[in-house]
Amino acid sequence: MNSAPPILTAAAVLEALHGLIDPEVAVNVVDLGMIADVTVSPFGEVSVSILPTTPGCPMHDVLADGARAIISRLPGVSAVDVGFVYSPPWTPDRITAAGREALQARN
Amino acid sequence: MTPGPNFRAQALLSFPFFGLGLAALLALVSWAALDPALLSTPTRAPASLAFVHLAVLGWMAPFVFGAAYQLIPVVAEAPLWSRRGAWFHFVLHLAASPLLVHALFRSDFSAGALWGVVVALGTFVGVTDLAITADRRSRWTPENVGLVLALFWLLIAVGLGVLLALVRAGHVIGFDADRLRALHLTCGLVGFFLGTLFAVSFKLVPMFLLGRPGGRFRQWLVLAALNAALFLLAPGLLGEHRPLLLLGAGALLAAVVGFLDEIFVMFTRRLRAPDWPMRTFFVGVATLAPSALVGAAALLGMETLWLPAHPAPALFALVVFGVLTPCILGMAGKIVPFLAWQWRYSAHIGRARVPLVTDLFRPALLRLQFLATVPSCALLLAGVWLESAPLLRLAAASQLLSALALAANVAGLLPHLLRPRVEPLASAPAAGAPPLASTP
Repeated sequence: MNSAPPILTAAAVLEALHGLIDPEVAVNVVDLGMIADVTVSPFGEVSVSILPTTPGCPMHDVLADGARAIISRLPGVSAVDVGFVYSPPWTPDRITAAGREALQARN
Repeated sequence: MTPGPNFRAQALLSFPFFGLGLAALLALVSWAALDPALLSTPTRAPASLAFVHLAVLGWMAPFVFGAAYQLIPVVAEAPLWSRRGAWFHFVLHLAASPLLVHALFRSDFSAGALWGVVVALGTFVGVTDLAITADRRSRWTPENVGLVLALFWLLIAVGLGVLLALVRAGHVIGFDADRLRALHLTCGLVGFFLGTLFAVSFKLVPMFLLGRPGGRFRQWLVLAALNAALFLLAPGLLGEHRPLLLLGAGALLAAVVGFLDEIFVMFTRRLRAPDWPMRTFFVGVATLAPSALVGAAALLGMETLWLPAHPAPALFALVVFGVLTPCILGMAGKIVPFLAWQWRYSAHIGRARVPLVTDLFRPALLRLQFLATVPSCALLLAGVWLESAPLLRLAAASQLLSALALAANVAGLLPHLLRPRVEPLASAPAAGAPPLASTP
């Protein structure tokens, strides 16, 4: 029987962040194109860069806190660092096809 | 990070302002429905003066300040400079503005000046707090500079109001009360309220529509035209200098045209369809075009042309009830549930299942608010043009319905504030339950 924990990867972190929904837009942050970068060290240290849709929006601190909570529950995570990047600025082009579909569905 | 306590303080600061504004709006539109002549008569009559100040000090100013204490830190990307100062502002405004309205109703201008000074003091404290907040990061963006300029015109308007009351009471001589009144109205309505609308729209419209921001250069031009108009109109109104009035009216029209063009560009670049609150907001924006024409006519004294027979009261009715009220009601539909959500649910995101922001207000009531706003603005336009009391009464009644829909939605927030709907992540949603945020 293999009891080894699943390997922590950037893809696994991104997959988990699909569960973090912007409560105003009702679309997850990954499909909104707000995740600029995810890195995972061999020691389980996860670093995520969030690209805010609008600089200064108070919801972004809330989303960063939610991202921290979600990632820290993943197996193998030893530390989580969530920060913001502002350049290049977020544009609607970053929204994925799934995100556009979700927006259309709510329209 | 512990967002809860901070958001609680923010909500607790803004909600009293919103409550005061909403109560005044309900009283205001009920009064207008009972006496629609208030929307079309010159503002020198005591009841008209009281009505105008109930609209500005009771309804619009508290709502705008309640939102500004949230939005200016957002626009400036800096925390509010002094929460205590904001509370001091609220207490002074709450205590003095009803007494000021009452004094004007009784034509007691000495008491009006006294309570006006108290309102002015509170406004000065609030404006200082917000201006310092806006300046904390020294971000020279159109929205930031536009808000600071709007606050500047507010101080001028408030100062002129106190001076006007002193002139009316006979304590100060040497000023023409009618000219002061025209300038007081222009600085308040155009300088502060329209200036705030322009600046806030540059930030919030693309944010709420998930669109690209409009052109920065065009936004700067709009602000420049608006403020140039005010600097031309001030001496023009005081000295009844027609060339300056003509230039000022031209600059004001240019600012409005530029603003409408900017909104149109933002609208075409959107990814998200406007929801009911944003549609209500856009009804107000659309009413800006005919209001600007009436405004130019009022400034130039064109009473005998194809415009309303009394452009000044028509302008006030159109700007307050046709433009600003729908815009504020629309933004309220976005900001009020957002604040309540932040207060009660933000600390749980990523840790539990919580409602979406859009679940906090009932869509049916938001739709009713929009559906009542459209005929209200159309009837108001027709009513002021024709000076028709029945049409104005219907417009006010329709707006009352819109305000009641907002009040019902605000009342519906109480269960969320008292008993937040937080469910463990693992639990399955109840049948028919709305979608929840943060559901990994």
